Amino acid sequence: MLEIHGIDVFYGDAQALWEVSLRVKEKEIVTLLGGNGAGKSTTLRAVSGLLKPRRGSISLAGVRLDRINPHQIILQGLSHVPEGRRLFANMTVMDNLLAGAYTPAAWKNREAAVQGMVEIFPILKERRNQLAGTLSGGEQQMCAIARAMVSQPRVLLLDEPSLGLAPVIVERIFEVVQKINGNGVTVLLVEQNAHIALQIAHRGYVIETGRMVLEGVSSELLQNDYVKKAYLGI
Amino acid sequence: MTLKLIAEQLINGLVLGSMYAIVASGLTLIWGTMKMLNFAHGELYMLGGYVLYFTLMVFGMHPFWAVFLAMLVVFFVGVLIERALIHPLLDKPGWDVSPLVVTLGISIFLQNFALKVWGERFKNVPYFIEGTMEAAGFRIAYQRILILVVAAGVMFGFWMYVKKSRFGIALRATAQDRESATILGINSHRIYMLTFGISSALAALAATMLAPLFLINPWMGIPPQLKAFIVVVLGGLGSFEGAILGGFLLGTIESLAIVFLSSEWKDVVSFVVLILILIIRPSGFFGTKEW
Repeated sequence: MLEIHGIDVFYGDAQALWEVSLRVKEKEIVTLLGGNGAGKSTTLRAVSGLLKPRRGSISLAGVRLDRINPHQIILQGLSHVPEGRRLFANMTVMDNLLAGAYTPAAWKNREAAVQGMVEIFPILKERRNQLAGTLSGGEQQMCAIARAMVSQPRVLLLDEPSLGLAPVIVERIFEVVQKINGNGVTVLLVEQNAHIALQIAHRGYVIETGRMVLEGVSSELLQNDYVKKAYLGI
Repeated sequence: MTLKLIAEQLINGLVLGSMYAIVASGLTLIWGTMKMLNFAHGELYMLGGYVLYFTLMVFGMHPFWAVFLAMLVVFFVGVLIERALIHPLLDKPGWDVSPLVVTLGISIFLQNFALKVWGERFKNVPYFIEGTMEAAGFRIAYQRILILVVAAGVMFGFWMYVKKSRFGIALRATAQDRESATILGINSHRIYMLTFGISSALAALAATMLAPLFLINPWMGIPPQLKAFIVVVLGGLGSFEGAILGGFLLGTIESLAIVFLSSEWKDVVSFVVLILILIIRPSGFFGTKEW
């Protein structure tokens, strides 16, 4: 479904990714693991058009995403929950969700879509008139996922949803991610927390200093000596 | 100095203040979304005045359509300025200074353009509605009542639009986090372009409403521009509510200054207010709040 083929990505003159390739098949959860600064977020940012690869290609169901304007990528059915949630802090929770329904098709269907999201995250209904910046970390992450899901994407990119959250909240969020995936949404999940990511992912990739170093199905990666040592702390 | 005089001046202050609020809200709108100051705002106001002169006096249009056309023309001038001169500077180094220089240049150009093309003779337009209302011993020109009503209507309408509409949500989203807005499908360049247009149209509206009270000339935009800056600092840069409150406050303070001091002192008083605000509360009333 989502295919990244040999991309080189630069920040100015500094190269951040070297020939990174990755595939996510339809209805799969694929996790991209790696340490700080390994290039995980850069990969996601390239997929959603915020960075343009100098070489290589990114395509979604055959459509070249790297040739589309960044604001038009969501129209292809790809939604991105950015690192650090990046909510509109001075807007209400409801307005954040409505911003997620900006595309013409989603706007027509916004009430049902928002309703669907508050059913998954009931806390957002309680908080709907509260400014997003005043939510707790876990609630903000839920709001960010809900905002991305309002447009009813086919593919969801999740950038470190577990960041800074208590384990019990992380578990809740990952349950929801699984549920979303169960409804037919393909998920590309970036994580530092390899342990929990490999529990829900079908397959995984490991990226280090801008290069892919490993890939495999989750059960294999969980048994891999290198992954165990470097990412699972065993 | 009677109570009646004070009351009349208070009403005049509200009338003037409502227009300060309209001019300032355009300025604050651009700051809030694009984080730039528009030094050509006063000249867009001036253009609004001239377009009104032509639509009203030369083509003899009904005031409603004359005002509407003035807003429309200046909207497109604003859009054109954004596309041609501001847009190329976006995302380039020096964004904190470059729009200042460019808009200052546009301002000087437009003033001299008006002087060259339309001449230095001041132009006069009549009141849209003749006559005065007399109630409870007060005499208020209908034009002033019209100004208040239009200002209140436009501000309320615009506020609701920004709070509730799809465009308004996109505008606020872009102002707060452009990248997040982009991944949700919002074209920030289009938002910027329209923001500039709307801001310009608001300036034109204020000019058309005030044109019968003041005179149309190439330099008519300078005082409202200065006042709008004071208002925006007073209310907090980027805050719509602040611009409205600040506008009314400054208008009222100036009008009372005329009663208690003299009309020559009103600008002194407004700048004293500006300096006091900068000392006491530099971020303005709503300075920390964004769109």
